[in-house]
Amino acid sequence: MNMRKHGVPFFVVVAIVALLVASPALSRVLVWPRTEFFTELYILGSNGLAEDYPYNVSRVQNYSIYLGLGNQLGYAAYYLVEVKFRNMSQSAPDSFNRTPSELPSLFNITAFVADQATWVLPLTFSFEYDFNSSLMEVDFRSMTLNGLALNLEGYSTVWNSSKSVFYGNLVFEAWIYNASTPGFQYHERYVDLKLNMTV
Amino acid sequence: MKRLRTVCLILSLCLCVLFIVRSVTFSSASSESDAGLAIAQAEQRIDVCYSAAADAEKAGANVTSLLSVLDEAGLLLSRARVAFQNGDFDSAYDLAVQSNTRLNGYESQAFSLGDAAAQQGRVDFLVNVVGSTAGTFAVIVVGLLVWFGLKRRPEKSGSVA
Repeated sequence: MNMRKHGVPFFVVVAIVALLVASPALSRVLVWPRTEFFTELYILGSNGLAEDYPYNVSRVQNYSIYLGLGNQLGYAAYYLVEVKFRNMSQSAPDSFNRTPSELPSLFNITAFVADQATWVLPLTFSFEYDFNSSLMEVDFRSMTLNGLALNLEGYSTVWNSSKSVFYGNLVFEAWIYNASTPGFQYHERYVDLKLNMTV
Repeated sequence: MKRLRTVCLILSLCLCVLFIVRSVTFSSASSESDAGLAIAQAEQRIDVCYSAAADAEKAGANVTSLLSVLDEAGLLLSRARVAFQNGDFDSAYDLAVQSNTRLNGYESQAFSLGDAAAQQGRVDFLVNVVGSTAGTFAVIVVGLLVWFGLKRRPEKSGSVA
């Protein structure tokens, strides 16, 4: 047997077998480390796509959207989505200063999302409001969210002549549970729906 | 005599009214505090259960089913908070208790899932890391032994011939 001739194929075979046997251990070591940890917060339209968002809203008419959260934080997260409603002049969440709206939450949606998992909640909402023609404003009475009546007494919006709308803004702010505090802290992300209250 | 009777009647009526007003106020306050307490307890329970689920996940357990139970409890708690804000303390209390009840046995389930996952993790480590590394060395050593064994054979067969 010519060992010089067969040496290379022999060691190639040994190396391949060794690599195959080592692959379970290597798969643990040669994993590209995750460097970006973040949360996705999004709204989808009634058909589950990023289109057909409600804009022109009528009294007591139901509108459907999907609220979604994607967890890429590396651990199972406990989120709180605060649902807020505002007119154009009221406090809004700020992307630059990373602050939430100062308005009180109308409803808190809790969401527990495993790492690298997504969570989607179908939401159906409607508004009950009156049109005050003398003041040219819309006075809200309540909002129904997934069959739950939320009090909107004291909320109103005036006619925006430049855009010709009665502007309403439905805001969803993400808060996250911090076990070390313990408590919720603003997670610096929000999504919102700009609405025109038709009269 | 008639006047005295009238005074007594008025006095007893006033006492009755006072008693009714007092009892209604007291029951409302009691109901409000009960609901508030139940909500606080449910919040605390959810926090504890979330920590248990997070620990189980750290141990490598699949916590999807655990988290969906927490979601249900969280939804009930959110509804309890709204009912409380609307002054419907009975509903708020009921919903908070339901939220609490939904989490019965949750921690033990999370701990057992975490334990099972940790055990599975140890077995996986033994098989995949220790076993695989030892196997690789064995393949290399056996390969070398075979190589040197084969290298000697032609010399032996040459001397015999």
